[in-house]
Amino acid sequence: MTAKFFKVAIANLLRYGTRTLLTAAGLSLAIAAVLFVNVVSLSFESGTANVYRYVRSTSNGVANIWVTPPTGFKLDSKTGFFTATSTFSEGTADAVLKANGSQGLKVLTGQWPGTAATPLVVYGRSDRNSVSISQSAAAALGVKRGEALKLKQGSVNVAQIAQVPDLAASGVIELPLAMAQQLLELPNQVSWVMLHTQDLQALQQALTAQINALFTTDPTTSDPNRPVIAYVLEGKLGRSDLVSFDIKLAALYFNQAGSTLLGWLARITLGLGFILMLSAALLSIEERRREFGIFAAVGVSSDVFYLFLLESLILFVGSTLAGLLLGALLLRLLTPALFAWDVILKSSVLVICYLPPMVIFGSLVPAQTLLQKSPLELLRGAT
Amino acid sequence: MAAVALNWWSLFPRIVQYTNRHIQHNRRRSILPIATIAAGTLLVYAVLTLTETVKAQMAELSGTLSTSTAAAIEQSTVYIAAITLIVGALETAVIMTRSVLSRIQEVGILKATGVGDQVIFSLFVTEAVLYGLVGGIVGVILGWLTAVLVQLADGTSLSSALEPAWLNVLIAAGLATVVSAVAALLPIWRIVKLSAIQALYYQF
Repeated sequence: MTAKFFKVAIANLLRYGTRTLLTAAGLSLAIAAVLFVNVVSLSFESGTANVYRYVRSTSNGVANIWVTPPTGFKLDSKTGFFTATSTFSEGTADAVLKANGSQGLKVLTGQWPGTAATPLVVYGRSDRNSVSISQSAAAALGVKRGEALKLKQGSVNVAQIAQVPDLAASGVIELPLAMAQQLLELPNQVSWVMLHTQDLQALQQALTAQINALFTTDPTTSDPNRPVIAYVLEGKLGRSDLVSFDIKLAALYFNQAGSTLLGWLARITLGLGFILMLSAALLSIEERRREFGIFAAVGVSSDVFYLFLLESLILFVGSTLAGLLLGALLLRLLTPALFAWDVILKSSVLVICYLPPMVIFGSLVPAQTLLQKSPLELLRGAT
Repeated sequence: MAAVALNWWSLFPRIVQYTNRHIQHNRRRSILPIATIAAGTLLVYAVLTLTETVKAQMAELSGTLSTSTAAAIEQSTVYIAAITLIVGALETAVIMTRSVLSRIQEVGILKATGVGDQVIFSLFVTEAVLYGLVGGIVGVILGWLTAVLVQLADGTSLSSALEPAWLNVLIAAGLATVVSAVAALLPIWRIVKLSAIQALYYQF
């Protein structure tokens, strides 16, 4: 029975080709625009999670480059401290260091609940032999210089209570890498590798050649006091990770300055896209008022209702797919740097969420309302 | 041409009367094109205005951002504005074409009762311009309200947020009216050439 209805629905859609085409065009265009605006906005917004900025050390002309896992860094707003969103193996870190002639150090960061009410930031460095804690951490843990600090496995002597003015609000414990790995229960893991170099270009070439990693810097920087950006991705790259680091950095600035503007653009387009689609769907019902009247007059209302729903569903699904394809094509052609499958998929899911309310408000409810009217009323055509 | 214009002016009161009756009689059917045009215009106005704000912020940040980054953001916002503009225009065109095509049989009846092609043509174009104007004005007002709210949420001062972007008003409302008229013109041009019987039998 369903197969028969399906055939009739397809035949109906094809029979009124112009009407079908115009309805589909109205729906697809709205969806393509929604997808385009959303992906562009999301690309800039989601970029912030993967941004890290490093200020080049100007002393003796040595630059520091940070090698991060693919997910990069985030600024923890609570502690005001940069933490890596994921870690990578110490083996890879050693390979990265080797590419730079072992000029650098390995770092592991994380949060340790400690004994205090507020969590403490753990900062493990491979070049450190002693434990140093910030004043606020010392106060929170109740330890003084030279005293033993109880950790999970044994205790260590606190060598220094450091002045860390910019992190005064949060407690920081700086300790040897191996100790940090134990404390955070992340054996053989590092958050990033910091490389020291005097020749940025040579390092970039060495990294690219030796660990098959992507490395980008800000090519326009000539001022030694301006930030130099380093971003290295571990292992095989996904297409989505090819968004240039420069653009990701822009996202950070953009979100700070433009805050929610792009998000608002996306939300406005989402809302209006739905209205445009709904209007296209409702008009297709109005166009078929007389047809409904004739069927109602001969007493086949329920069949017509079912058929109409099926036709709408085919049209909506087909138009959504066409719109998504058109949107993806526009993104590929116009903004190839932002063409990332994961962001496109995320936005597509959002657009596909339109379908149920479209079927309900653009087809089911209005068709049901129409069929409750008398055939005469429908045939008259007045609204 | 002059004769046509004179004819149109002399018929104008009756055309408006007919359009008014048609809208009164088919309220829901008339509201949908106007709502679509208004939604498209709203989108065009709000996006054009907000992308200008984005561009202005990028200019302020030009000392912080690299030239290539500022260019990448500016390019993206231009694309967003352009896509919205094109989609807004196409949505208006689609809805007006549908609105005209769904009334072919009405054209057949008018022709059968001896109404001239010029009059039918004027009727539909006047109605399309009216839809475009009403939808455009409503859309611009709603778009202005949306842009004001978003800009206020973004920290723009009340006085500068309230000031309408007149060029965008012209672009958005003008686009709605012109596209609406042109989109209606093309199918009407085709329909008036049909005979009364052909128009009456036409299936849309």
